Amino acid sequence: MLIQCNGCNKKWRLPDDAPGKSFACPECAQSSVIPTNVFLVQCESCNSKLSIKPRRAGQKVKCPKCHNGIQVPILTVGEITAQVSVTAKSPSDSNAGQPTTRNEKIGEESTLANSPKTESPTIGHGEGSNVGGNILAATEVTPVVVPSISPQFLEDLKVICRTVPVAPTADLCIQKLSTHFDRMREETGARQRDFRIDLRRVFNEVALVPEDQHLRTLAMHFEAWRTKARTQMGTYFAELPADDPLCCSISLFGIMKHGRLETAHTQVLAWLLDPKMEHGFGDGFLRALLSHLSGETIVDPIHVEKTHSEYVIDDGRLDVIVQGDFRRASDKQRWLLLIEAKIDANEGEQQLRTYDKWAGKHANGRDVYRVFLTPDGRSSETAIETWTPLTFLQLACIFRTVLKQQQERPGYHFLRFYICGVLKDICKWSLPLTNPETCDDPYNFVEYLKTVSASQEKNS
Amino acid sequence: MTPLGKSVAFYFKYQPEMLRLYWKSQKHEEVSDPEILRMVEIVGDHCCQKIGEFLTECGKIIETHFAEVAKCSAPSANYKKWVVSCGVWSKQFGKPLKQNWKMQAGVDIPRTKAEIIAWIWGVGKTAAEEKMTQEFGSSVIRSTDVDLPAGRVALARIPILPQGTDGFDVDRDQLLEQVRVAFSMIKQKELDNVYHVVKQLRD
Repeated sequence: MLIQCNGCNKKWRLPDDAPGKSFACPECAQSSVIPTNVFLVQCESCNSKLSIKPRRAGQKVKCPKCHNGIQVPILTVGEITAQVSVTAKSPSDSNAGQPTTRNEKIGEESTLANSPKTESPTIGHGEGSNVGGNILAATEVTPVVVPSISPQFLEDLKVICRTVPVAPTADLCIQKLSTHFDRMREETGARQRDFRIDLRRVFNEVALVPEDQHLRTLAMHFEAWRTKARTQMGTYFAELPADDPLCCSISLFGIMKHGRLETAHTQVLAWLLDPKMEHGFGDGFLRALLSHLSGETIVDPIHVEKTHSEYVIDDGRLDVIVQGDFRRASDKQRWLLLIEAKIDANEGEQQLRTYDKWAGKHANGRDVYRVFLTPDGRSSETAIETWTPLTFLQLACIFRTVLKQQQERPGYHFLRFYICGVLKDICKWSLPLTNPETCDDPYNFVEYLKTVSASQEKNS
Repeated sequence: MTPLGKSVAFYFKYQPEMLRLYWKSQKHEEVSDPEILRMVEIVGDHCCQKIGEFLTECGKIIETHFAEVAKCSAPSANYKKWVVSCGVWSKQFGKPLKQNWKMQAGVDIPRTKAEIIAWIWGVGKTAAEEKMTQEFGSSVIRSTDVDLPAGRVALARIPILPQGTDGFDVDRDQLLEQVRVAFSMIKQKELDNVYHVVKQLRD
């Protein structure tokens, strides 16, 4: 609704629920109560007298009798608030909307440009936000009076702009958001326009154009950070044995163009986790993986009952399943390890939920370790139970920590090529590592080697 | 020369750092100054906006070319993943349902590599790739060599940062021209031949 202050003649737009509330004019500070009683408006065309609610002040309505367009006058408020009785004129009349009782001189409607400078109300969650109170303060004169924007609102808007792939440009983005807003709120065209204006202001605040100086400052910081990482990488690199997977160029599956073939990886994984297999590593990798999953170093003897890859269950195939127990002096702790791997594919419909149901039926009181193995360590979308997200890089780290102790085993070089393949084909690392000085992304190497080094120290 | 946007060139020059700070929002003690992190946000946001604008132009190129040699849908862009694509079908056939495209053409900008990949996809994974390689010539690159999903072949890998670039000025027009050239190698006859084959295939 539109009102006009009797004290300073400024026009203000108020929320539709303003009638009955106090209003303090932001310009002249004159306070008054917005009237609740109806307008009497006479249609110029058919002379019918219409009762109009105060919230329609300043809007256009249709005469129910002759359908003539009627411009409802702006409500004048001030020290004295009285019922206003006017003769409405058609919208084409240049004097339409002006009250006939008093205040012949009407000031310009307040806009963003001439909004009051005394207070700085805020949108959203800022301290200045005061929507919902009984007293109408200047803050509630929205959306016309919006001199500043709270930091929280900006942060929220950024999140929305980043998570909703709406449009590439400010114009399209604003158009789409305001249409969406309009559809949701079923507001009038004017309200949509106001929202769009507000949104553009906010958008301009958010979508700042970086200046050259910003780029130079950032570049300086990044160069320093990269140099430091390269130095750290150089230190680790000097200690790497010549047969380390990082110095290897052969990817086990890459040479067959199957570097990202899921079944190839899960079958190797099942093979490595089976202590009875010909690789000769015993339970070394299984122990390392279970220690990682349980968060404690497992020292008890491990007995494995069965290991399978592509294990067929009622409604699907589990990539890897290992079942066994830890033998302790007095008792056995039974467990079940389930691994579901995804490289370039997404989960099937209800896939992990199905596995959860199967595990619920077949675990028989065992501790169940569930692993969701992906390149990026994302969480499962279809599981009921908690599946531990594990990246292939973490897996390589876990295996790498026990690699050193396996040098004499028959499967040692196979494992080197396998880890190299995981890093090259799945993690997209550029191997073999040659010169740390020219490495564009030294951070991954440093993080990887730091983790491996810390785990080795812990194990020793 | 129309600039691609300094923030885009900056992003790819410092991609490992921007990936960690902007996309992954990781905390690093080496870069913890709030003002610097704010600059990272500004540069990242602006980069996304510029990439979006560039992909819109790429979408127009694809639409224009495939409207001549075949038929194609309006470009559909995913500005979050930095990809734009159109469904493509032979003039001899009717329009398939959106969820049942047999061929698509598009442009990818990987977040971790300073290059533009113009690609074409056919249903049928490796079988489709083989047919497309056979028809479109040996210059196309198979999915395994360019890190694309199976069934896509790259028509061109266009570097965003020219060799020896020191500053942040990159000519957008030149890149768009290279995208246009990449798609212009697809002619109606070859596309029809591929479409006849992939129409029978399934993923």
